[in-house]
Amino acid sequence: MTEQAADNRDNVLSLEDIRVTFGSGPTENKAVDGVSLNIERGKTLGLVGESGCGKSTLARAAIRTQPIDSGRILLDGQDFGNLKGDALRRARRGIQMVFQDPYSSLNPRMAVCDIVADPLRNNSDLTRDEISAKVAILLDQVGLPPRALNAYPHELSGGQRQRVGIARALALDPALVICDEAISALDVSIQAQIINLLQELQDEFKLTYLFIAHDIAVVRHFSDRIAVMYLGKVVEEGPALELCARPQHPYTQSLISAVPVPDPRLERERRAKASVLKGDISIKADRGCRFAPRCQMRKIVKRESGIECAEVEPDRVEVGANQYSRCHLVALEQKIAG
Amino acid sequence: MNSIKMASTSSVRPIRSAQRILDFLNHFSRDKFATAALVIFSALVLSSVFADLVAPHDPLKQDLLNRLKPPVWVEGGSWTYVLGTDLLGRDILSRCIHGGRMSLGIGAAVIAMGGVFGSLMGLLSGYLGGRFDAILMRYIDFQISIPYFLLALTIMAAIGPGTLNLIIVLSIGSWPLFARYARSIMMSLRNQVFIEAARVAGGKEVAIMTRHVLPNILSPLITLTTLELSRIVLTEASLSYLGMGVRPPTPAWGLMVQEAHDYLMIANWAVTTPGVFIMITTLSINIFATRLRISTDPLQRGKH
Amino acid sequence: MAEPEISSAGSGSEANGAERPLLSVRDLNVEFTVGESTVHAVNGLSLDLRKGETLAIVGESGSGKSVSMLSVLGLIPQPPGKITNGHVFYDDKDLLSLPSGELRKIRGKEISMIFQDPMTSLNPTMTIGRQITEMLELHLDMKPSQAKERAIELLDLVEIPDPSTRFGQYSIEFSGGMRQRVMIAIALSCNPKILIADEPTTALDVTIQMQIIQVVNELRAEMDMSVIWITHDLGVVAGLADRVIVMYGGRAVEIADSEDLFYRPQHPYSIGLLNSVPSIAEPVSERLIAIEGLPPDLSERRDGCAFYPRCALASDICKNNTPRLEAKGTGGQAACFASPGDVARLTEGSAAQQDNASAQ
Repeated sequence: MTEQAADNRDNVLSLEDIRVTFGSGPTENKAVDGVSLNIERGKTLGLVGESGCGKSTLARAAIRTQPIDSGRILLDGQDFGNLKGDALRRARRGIQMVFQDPYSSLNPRMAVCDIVADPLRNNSDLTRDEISAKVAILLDQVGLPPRALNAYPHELSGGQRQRVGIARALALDPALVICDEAISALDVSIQAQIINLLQELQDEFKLTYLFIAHDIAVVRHFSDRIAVMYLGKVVEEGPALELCARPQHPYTQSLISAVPVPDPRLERERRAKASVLKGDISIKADRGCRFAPRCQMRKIVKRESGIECAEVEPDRVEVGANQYSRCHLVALEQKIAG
Repeated sequence: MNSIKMASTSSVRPIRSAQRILDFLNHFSRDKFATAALVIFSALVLSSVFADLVAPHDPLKQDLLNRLKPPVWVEGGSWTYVLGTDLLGRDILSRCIHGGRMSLGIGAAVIAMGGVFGSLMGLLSGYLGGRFDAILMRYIDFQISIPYFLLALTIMAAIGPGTLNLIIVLSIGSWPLFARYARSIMMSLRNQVFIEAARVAGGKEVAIMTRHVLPNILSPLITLTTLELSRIVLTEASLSYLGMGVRPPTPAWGLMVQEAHDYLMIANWAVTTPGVFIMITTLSINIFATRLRISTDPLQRGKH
Repeated sequence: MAEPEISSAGSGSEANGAERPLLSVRDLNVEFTVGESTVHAVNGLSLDLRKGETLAIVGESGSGKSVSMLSVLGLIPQPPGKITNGHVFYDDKDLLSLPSGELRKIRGKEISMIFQDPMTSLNPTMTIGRQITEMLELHLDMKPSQAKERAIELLDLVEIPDPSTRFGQYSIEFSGGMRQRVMIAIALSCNPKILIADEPTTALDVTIQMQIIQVVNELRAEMDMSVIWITHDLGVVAGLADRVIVMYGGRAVEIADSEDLFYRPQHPYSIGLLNSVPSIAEPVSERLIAIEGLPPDLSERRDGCAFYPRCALASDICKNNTPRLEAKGTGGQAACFASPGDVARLTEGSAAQQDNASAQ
C-alpha cells in the first residue's frame, strides 16, 4: 500500500486494493481489479469510465451491497469492509447512495413520504410525527412541492423522482453520498437542475461525494478530483481541471477528445486534430496494460524501451501535482525527462 | 409526462392507510363489470355461509311425488320449487345453495392449505436459491408432468372418497402453481434496485421483507389466489362428477350434475342449473380478480 | 390551433432556398390517446431537408422529435397514435396519403432509419449477413450470391473488421458499437437518399459515439445522402449538423444554421439549453445555469407558448398567444415574441453570469 503512505489527509472513505471477480474459468470477469482510492472530506471524487469498466461495481463494493474478493474499506478511518449484521447497518448511516435509474430505485407501491421515511424508520427512535416533520423538511430541501408527499413514484417526472432518491439518501445525514450515474437518465435541462441541487446540498451539509458518471464534461464540472477507470483498473487520477487539461494516459486523452463540445468551430478543430479511438471495451486483456489492445502508443513503447504493453503491467507514476497515471509511455517520458 | 405541479399547499399530511383503502375501493368501483362480479360473488358467498337461512327447503328432503318438477318458467313448474326438483324430488335451488357452501368451502380450505404452503415454499425458494430451489423446482416439474386427474384419482382411490380427502388431493394439485408463481415474483424482486436501496437505507432483512417485498408480492398473489379458486371449484366439480369427490347425498355442484346427467333428455334443468352456478361463480371470480390486480397496483391504477 | 405555417421553414432568403428540398414536412400534427387523455405530441411542425445536408433535430424527451420522424415514415402505431393533420412531400408524393404498400417500398429503400437501441433492433435468431441480404433481395431484387457480395462490402464500408467472417455471425456476438454499425449497414444497403438517425449514439460510450458519427459523416459524403440526426446532445450536433431544428413541446421553436444556433441563439429555450450543459472546453463555473421548472404536460391543451412557464423573457402576450416561427435577422428563425434586444441581453447576461461564476 505504498500509494497510500503519503496520504494522511482527512479521508471519509478509503478503498485499498479492492478486487471483485464475477464468474470463473473462461467467463471470469475481473470487474474491479485492485483499485485504491481516497475521498477527502467535503470534496468530490469523480469516477469516469465507459460502461463495463467496473465503476458501478466499485460503488456497490464501497457501500457493501456487492461482496468483495479482497481489499480494505475504511469509512471515517474505521473498518467498514468487514462489518456484518447490525454493525454494518449502523455504519451504513454514514454512506448513502443515489441510484442511476430514478424509476426502478423507488418502490412502486410506496408513496414518496414512506420512501423518504424508510431510512429514518430503520435507523432512529424518532416518533411518527418527528419522522413526518423531518420528511417534510427533506422534501423541501431537495425542491419538491409538499404535494409530492403522497404521490407515488409513477406520478412524478424523472427529475422529481431523482429528487426523492436524493432526499432518501440525505435522510440519515450521511458523510458520504455515492451518486452512481445519478443524472444520466435525466433530460438535459433537468440534469443541470439536479447537478446544481447536489452542489447546493454539498455546500449546506458539507457532504462528500463519490460522483460516478460516463460523461467526463459533467464530472469535470462537478468534481475536485477525477479517477479514470478502464476494465477494472484506475488508469489515471488527479485534480479535476489539471487532469482534463493535461491528460497523460492515452485512454484519458481519447476519452476527453471524444467528448463532443457544443461549439461548432471548436468542435471542427478538435475533430481535425483528434484521432478516433478504435475498437471497444469488449477487447479484454487479463494481463499487462488493460488498454494495450486499443492503444496506438504501444508500438512506440515497444520501440523505445522494448516493453510489451500487453504483457507487463505498468506502475503508477506521479505525473504532476497529485496526478497519477498507469502507463509505460508516461513512465518512459518521465525517465527521459529526468 | 406525469408530473406533480408545483402547488403551494401549505401543510400536506401523509395519507394514512384508511385513505389508501378508500382510494382502492373508489378505483375498483369505477368498473361496472367488476363491481357486478363482486356483488354476485359476495351474494354467493353470503348465501353459502347462511345457507340454512336462505334455502327455501331442506336440501336432503326427498319428495318423490314431486320428482323432476321443472322450474317455474317452464310449463308445469311451480313457485314451491323455483328451480325445479331432481329425480328424488329434492329442491334444486336449495341444493345449489348448500352445494355452494360445499364448493366454496372446499375452495377456501384448499387455498388455506395448498395456497399458503405453495406460496411460502415459492418465496423461500426464490429468496434462498441454491440447492433448496433446485430440488423444489425439480420435484414440481416431476409432479406437474403427471396428468392431474390420474394423480387425483389414484390418491382418491387409495385413501377413499370424502370431503377431507378431496381437500387434501386438491391442495396437492394446487401448491406447485403457487410455488412456481411466488418464486418467479420473488426472483424478479430480489434483483430490483429499490430492494438494494432499502438495504442501503439500513433496513433489516425482516423490515425489507415486510415493507418492500411483501406489498409487491401480495397483489399478484391475491390475483392468483382468486383465479385458482375458480379452478379449484371446477376441479372439485369434476372430481365429484367422477364420483371421487363429495359423497352423496351431500349436495355439491359437480355431484349434482353427475346425479342428473342420465336424465338430461327429460329434465335438463337438473343438470344445467348446478352447471350455471359453477359458471357464474368462476366467471365472477375471474372478472373480479382482473380488476383487483389493477386496483391494488398504484402504477396500473393510474392507467385505467 | 393548427394554423398552417406559411413561412416555409428554412427556405428563407439564402441562395440555396431556390433549390427544391428533398423532403418537406408541412404542418404535421400527431396525437396519442393515453387512457382518457390525449397527448399532443407534435403540433404543427414544418421543416425542409435539403439535398446533401445534415439536419439535426434537437429536443428533450417528449419534445416530439422522434415521433415526428416516425410519423413521416408511417411508423407510429395507430392507435394509440394518430396523425391529425399535415403533409410530408417527398419526390412529388405526399407520404402521409400513400397506401401503406407504396410507403413500405420507399421506407428502407429511399428513406432509411436507424434507432437508439441496437440491442433490440436486430433479430437475434438470424445471422447478421442474412439480415442485410434480405433487404437487398427484397428491395433491389438481387440474387443471393450477388446480395452476399454486396452485404460483405457494406460491412466493410461501416468499418467492421473481418467482414466475411462477421457475415455469418449472430448479433449476440457483436458489441453495442458493432451492432449499431450493422444497423447502419442495413439502413444503407439500398443506397437511400435520406437516412434518419434517431439518437443512434445515446446508448453508446463516447469513444464509440465518435466512431459512429465519423462513419455516418464519411458515408454521407460518399453516398450523397441527406441525414436527419435526432438527438438531445448539443455537443453531437455541433460537430455534425449543417442546420439545426430545436423542438420543444411538440413544436419547432428555432431553426437555424449550426453556427447561428450556437453563437447567436434566438429562442430563450435554445439559450437555456446551451447554458445548461457543461463543456469540457470551457472554464468551470460555480453553478450551471439551469432551466428551472418542468417540461410541458402535453396532455393539457392550452394556448400560449409551451416554454412560457419556464422562460426568463416571458410576458403577458406569451401566455395566450402561440408564437410562430419568423426570421430573426440572424439568418435563422425562432418562435418567440421577445424583442431581439431582450434575447441578446439574455444571451449576454447568462454569459456574464457564467464568467462571473468562473472568476470567483
